[in-house]
Amino acid sequence: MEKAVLSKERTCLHCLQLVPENENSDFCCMGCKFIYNTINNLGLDEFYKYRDEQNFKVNAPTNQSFIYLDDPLIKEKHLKRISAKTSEVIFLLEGIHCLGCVWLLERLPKILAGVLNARLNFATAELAVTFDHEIVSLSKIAKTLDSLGYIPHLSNSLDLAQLNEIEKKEDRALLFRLGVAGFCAANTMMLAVSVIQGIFTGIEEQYQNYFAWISFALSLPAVTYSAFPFYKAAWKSLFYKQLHIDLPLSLAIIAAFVLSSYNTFVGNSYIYYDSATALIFLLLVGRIIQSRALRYAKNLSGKSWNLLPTKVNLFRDTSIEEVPVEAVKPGDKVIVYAGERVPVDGVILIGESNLDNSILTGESLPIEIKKGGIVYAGALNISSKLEIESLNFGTENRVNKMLKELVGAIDNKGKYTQFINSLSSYFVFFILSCTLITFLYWMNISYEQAFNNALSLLIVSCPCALGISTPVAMSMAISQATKKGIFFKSRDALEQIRHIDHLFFDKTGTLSEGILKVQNQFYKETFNPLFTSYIKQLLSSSLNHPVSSAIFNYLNLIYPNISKSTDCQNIKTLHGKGIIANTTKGDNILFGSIKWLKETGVIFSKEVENEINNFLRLGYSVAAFSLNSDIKTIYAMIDTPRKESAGLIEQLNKTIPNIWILSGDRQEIVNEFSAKLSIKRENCIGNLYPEQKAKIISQTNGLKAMVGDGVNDAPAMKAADLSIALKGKLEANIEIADIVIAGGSLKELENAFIGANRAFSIIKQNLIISTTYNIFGISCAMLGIVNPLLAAILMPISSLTVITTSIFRKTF
Amino acid sequence: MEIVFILLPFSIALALVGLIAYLWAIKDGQFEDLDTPAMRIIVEDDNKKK
Repeated sequence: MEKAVLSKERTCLHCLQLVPENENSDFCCMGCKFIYNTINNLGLDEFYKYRDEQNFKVNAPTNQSFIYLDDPLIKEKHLKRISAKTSEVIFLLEGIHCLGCVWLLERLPKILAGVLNARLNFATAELAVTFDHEIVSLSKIAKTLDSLGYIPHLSNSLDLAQLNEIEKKEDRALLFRLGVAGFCAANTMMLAVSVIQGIFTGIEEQYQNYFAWISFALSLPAVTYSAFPFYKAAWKSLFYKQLHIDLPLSLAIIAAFVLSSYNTFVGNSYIYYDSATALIFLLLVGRIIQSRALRYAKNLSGKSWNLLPTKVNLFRDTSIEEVPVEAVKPGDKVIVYAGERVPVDGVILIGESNLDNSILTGESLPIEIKKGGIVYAGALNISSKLEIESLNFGTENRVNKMLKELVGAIDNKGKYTQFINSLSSYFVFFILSCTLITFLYWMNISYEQAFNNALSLLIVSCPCALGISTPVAMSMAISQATKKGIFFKSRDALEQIRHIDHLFFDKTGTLSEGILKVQNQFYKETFNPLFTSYIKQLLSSSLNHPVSSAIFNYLNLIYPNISKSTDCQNIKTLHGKGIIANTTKGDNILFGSIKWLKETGVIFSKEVENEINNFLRLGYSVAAFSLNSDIKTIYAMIDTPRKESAGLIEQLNKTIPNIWILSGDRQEIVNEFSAKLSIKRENCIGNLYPEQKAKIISQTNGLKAMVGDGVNDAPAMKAADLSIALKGKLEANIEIADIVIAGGSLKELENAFIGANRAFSIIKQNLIISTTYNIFGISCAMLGIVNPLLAAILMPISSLTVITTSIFRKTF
Repeated sequence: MEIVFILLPFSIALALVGLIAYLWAIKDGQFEDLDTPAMRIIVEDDNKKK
């Protein structure tokens, strides 16, 4: 029997990706090899037993020195003092993906002397490290983490860290209340069994009174402490003249307690303490499920650490030092190398370069800057080294300011869910009227009966479906959505997405690919491969620039067999203009913007001018190549719409009345998108600054939603009622947006709409189910036949049936 | 049956001990991260076996 020929494919020992065929090693890259050796040298190869075989993407170590972490300012802001010698620091790590990571990282004390404890929170990718700062430094810890493949970051924005702390405290308080409520509910229910049975078969008065009084005492903590959040929300809603769901819930709880206390005082055996405390307990369970689902979504939606640089090259006296960004003062001189992001807002002292400001303006084309020009933190320095003078203290910059304003805004939105809101208003009105009718009718017979029956009505008509199953249903929907990569950060978001009147899209990166692609070219004479080879050589020296890389990629695609020339010499790149060179044959060649070529005196024939104007009118950006002052080739580039955009807009047009595009790019480019995606011309507006976009949005009436992907959309997102971030290259909007779509996929945006609708149809079904119970219960109360047993049965049944249906239905 | 007058407070006191333990655990931050401890258990068990 012939043995099958084994394929020559090998998988990397560390990350299990395929090793390229020509490589004669066991690893796919130097990064993996390095990490593998580190792990083995530390005797920790057990790691390979635990690591997840799938989805193992590795971050190559960056091999930075992390020296800036030893600066005393970092100590002040990021370290928590535990004792005289020890402190705790929390790193946000990149590259956390599996069990093996937990194992490896928590072994840090064995790897690095001086580290006392390391605890990983898998969901948030936070590693809490306790260390002795006399033995080991922060930079050494960071270097070690880096060498293992987990690039460490310190929380970049301390305001957000504070918000996190507040959330944690609230979560704890909620758990406290839950525990107390559970304790009270369990014990009162135990006592209630005796008392209720006593109503039917008789019980000695002394015992009945004893049980009743103890139940009273047990209910006090639950009704006062545990239920407090509901009273607070109900009171606040009255203030805003809205009927929030917590209002009837609070009334039911208070009614049950008051009626039971009255009955206990007069010696009557109709007590409802168990219903009241059980209700409080179930409500809190619903709240906790909800808050956890939301926190989970928030954590997984991403962290924005790689937005602004944390380390700065500070020019002190005669040398350059690496310091943390917090150490920079106004007037400090900072060096920004080509390829780095500008760390602080500043003015240029020395140097000329191109900046990519897309983080702030959304512009896909770089702008040139020189001495005296102002640069903002976050801009990408494309071509050459700059020395800038800082205008502010380190972390005070335009981007952080925008984020700060927005973070403050989200939690104060104070808008209640509309649908639930209106429904509960009707419900409350209905209940209160029935109660009044009951009271007035029974008053003819006796005050006591009237009081009893009216309050019993409030107890059994409790809107459990609204109060418990709705939050649970929404939380389930949110959790399921989270697994699909759609992160809803609030319940309101889930509801609002169904009622959008105006949907505003950012263009660059959202509806478009975000990169330039060559769409057309024009040759003055017949095609000459020599020119193409010259162009390839020129462009290969400036591939940082989006125009260069767009055309270079295009030429490699269309003419792969024409190799780069080697005849061009004295290649010089002029920022914002183009590339100039001469060939060994003595020709003068230029490649660049039309404006610059005209300035250098290149001749543009009528035919060429026409072509260029045509291209510009269609929204293209144009670059040209000239040989000896004669234009030979023109390239037209545009940022094209994503493939999924057309389909998405078509679907959305069916349900959303108004769709808009707001962009910082030229109007002609935006018009092209309007045509290609069938969006109304007057709703597609270009040449807008971020603040102008915000103005347009705030001037429209109705529920406004904004979809974007960068910090430049931040003011617009604030102006909108609902903000949706497509997670792409930049992660600023993650913190601000109400909904985050991971992977930046437009298809998932469509699914977000579909899923939200499904979630609400489930909620409606639940409401129908519980309304049936309620009608039965209310009728009994009006007829005067409600007793504690009936209340104790009806409430849990109606609550639990709707809860279980909420948990087991699939929405996303 | 008079014993129930003492028994009841006593059993509630016992239950209270449980509640206090729960409240202490919350304060200690044990309920913040519910995913990672599950992973840790698997790993440490294997370690001990070796």
